[in-house]
Amino acid sequence: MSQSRTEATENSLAERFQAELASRSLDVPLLPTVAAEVLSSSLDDQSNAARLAELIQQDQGLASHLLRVVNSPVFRGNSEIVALQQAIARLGMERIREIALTVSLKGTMLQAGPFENLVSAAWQHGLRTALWSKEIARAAIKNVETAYLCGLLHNIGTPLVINRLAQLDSDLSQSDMIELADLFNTPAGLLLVEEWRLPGSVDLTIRFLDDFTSAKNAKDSVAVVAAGRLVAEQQALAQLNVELILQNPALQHLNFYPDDIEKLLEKAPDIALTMESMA
Amino acid sequence: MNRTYDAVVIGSGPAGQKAAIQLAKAGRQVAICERLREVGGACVHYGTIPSKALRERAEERAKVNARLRELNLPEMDRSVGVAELIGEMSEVVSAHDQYMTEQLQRNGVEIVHGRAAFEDPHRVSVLTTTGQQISLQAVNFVICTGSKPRHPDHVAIDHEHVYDSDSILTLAYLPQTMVVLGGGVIACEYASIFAMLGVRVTLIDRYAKPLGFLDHDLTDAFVAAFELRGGDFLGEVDVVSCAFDGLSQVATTLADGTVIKSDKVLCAQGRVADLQNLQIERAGLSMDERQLLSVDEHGRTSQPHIYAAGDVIGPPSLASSSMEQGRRAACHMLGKELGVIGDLLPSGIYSIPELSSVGLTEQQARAQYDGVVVGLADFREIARGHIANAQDGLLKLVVSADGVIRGVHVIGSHATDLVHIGQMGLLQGADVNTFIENIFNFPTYAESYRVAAIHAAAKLAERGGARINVA
Repeated sequence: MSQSRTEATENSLAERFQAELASRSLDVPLLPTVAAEVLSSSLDDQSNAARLAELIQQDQGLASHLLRVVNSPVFRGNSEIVALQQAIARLGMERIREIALTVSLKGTMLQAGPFENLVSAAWQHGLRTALWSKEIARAAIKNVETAYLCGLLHNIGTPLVINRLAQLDSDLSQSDMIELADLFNTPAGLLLVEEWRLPGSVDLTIRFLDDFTSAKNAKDSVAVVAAGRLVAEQQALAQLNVELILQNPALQHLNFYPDDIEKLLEKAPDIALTMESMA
Repeated sequence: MNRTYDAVVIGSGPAGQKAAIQLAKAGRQVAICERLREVGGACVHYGTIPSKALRERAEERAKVNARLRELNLPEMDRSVGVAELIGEMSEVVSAHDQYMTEQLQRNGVEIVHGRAAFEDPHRVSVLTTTGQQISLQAVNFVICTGSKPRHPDHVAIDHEHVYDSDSILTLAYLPQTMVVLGGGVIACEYASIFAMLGVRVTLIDRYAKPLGFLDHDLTDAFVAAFELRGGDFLGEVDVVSCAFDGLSQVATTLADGTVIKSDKVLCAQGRVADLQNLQIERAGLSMDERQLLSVDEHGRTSQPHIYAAGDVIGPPSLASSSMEQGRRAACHMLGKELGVIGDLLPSGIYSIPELSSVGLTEQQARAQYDGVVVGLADFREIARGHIANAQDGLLKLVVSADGVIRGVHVIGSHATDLVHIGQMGLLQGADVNTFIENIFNFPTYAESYRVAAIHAAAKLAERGGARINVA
């Protein structure tokens, strides 16, 4: 295919996707029931462990995936976890909620096809960002609970873009797909926020991630995810570097000094293990 | 990078700010080092201002809900986030930061953002967030690094389930239940605010009563109001452990084996001087047995050219007293003569209801004087209380047999403002007649001084106090 042909294809796809976004005719996947339950109760004080356990058990695929995750070396103790209630007792409801949300959303967004590797990479990046965001929030004395959620969903638009564009043109090159996914990640993410009625903190994170200083009252919480994203990127490339991280405006905004960053990076092995477990 | 100044102030909280500005106004070359990005210290960012903002919102919601109930309308949704409740807070903090930054800059104070550490008695090295080192040399130093929450070993603070007083306002939502550990000012303020917001709060303290330094009538009134809002006070109780149970609750285990489960815990068991990273030993300084910096009456440490002010030197650890300590340290450095600092220190507790006190408690007065009487003014008898629908309040005057006022204690609306009238009276040696024979605006809460004075005067008259005029 000639260069001009590729560009023309890419432009036409971009226009079509843009039109679908604008007309809201884009086919948005339904929010998984378990994820909806976790999201609706995560900022609520009426969290109901029994209801969530029941929902997870109704979804055989999810229940078995979840048991596989909790039996991975990073989570399991001395004995095998054979039941959901046991998992809750061992890991705590908050952790189970995080795992359930992560696994159920992953199942929805990860579709087999020529670009599965890209969706998977985006998903891994979201998860890694979530884990780092949580630790950064804890160290910076910011809200820990919302940091995970916002980190996990900061790039939720990417799988939507890739899945749709793959339907439109399965011959698109990987590099063109990455370019288009970057282009539409934010508007697609905001569409999902609206359709899935995700919390306002996720909306603000997606909207202002590249310019946290404009996020007004949410500046700190968006900076947490922006910092989490940077550290996640570096870890994925096996390039965790204190000097480079120090130059990041989000970490400077959160007032991290060199020794704070060194202490933060001590979490890297735990996060790598958790990533393996959740894969 | 090396710079030289007349004075370097370390910390930009209330003490540091006042010291720096006082010195700069006298023409000194001054730098102020601040570890955080914004100036103002914990007072602005974690403590005084944000907690007061939350308190205001809690009271506003209670008033709105009371009105909605009167109208048989549903009450406001309680599933609201703390961040939403103090939503405008970051704007307030930013505005405060900007105002203080401008004030410092206007006075020619150089602001250095970074973490200071002494290299020797006349030099500090400041590490910036980008890893740069700046060396500041000065004739004088003022250490105003403030305090940080004390983390007892048996309390597993993780800022997710178990919070300290700096992290409590990062809560994303209002929990159903909360245990508050401690019985001091911070513990009581937050316990009463969260109770007002509908959280079932259990306040646990090792002493029989919270706020033990206050007049007992005020303490009893505080506990009664707290319990009326569904709170529970457990006094004379020791906590042996407190940690997230791994499920969904925090388990607080008491010495008798009782386990109290709650959604969240706030540990507010005091604050300690924050001298971390400052390397004071390189300046020839050390902490005293209370883990504080000892200073003389002028704010000088054991190194006469190094001063200290604010929380880092210990109680009273109030923003108001810290400002004065900072100013006085600077004045001494400048060779200015100052009067003796007033020991009549008012205390203000921004709980719900508000509490404030100055002078002797009834218990202290009885130990010092014979024939002490008290005069009470219930806000239910004050027209302003009726108008504002704020009738739960009390003003108490502690009076010695000669009619002289020895202490003033207030609980209820505007208590922290109202107490200053009494403070001025105490400073002038006022007796009850001062309040009886002078006219107060009507309707005001200040009128309660007159009511309480008349009450005290009547008691003294019964005992034959001839010089007391009973209205």
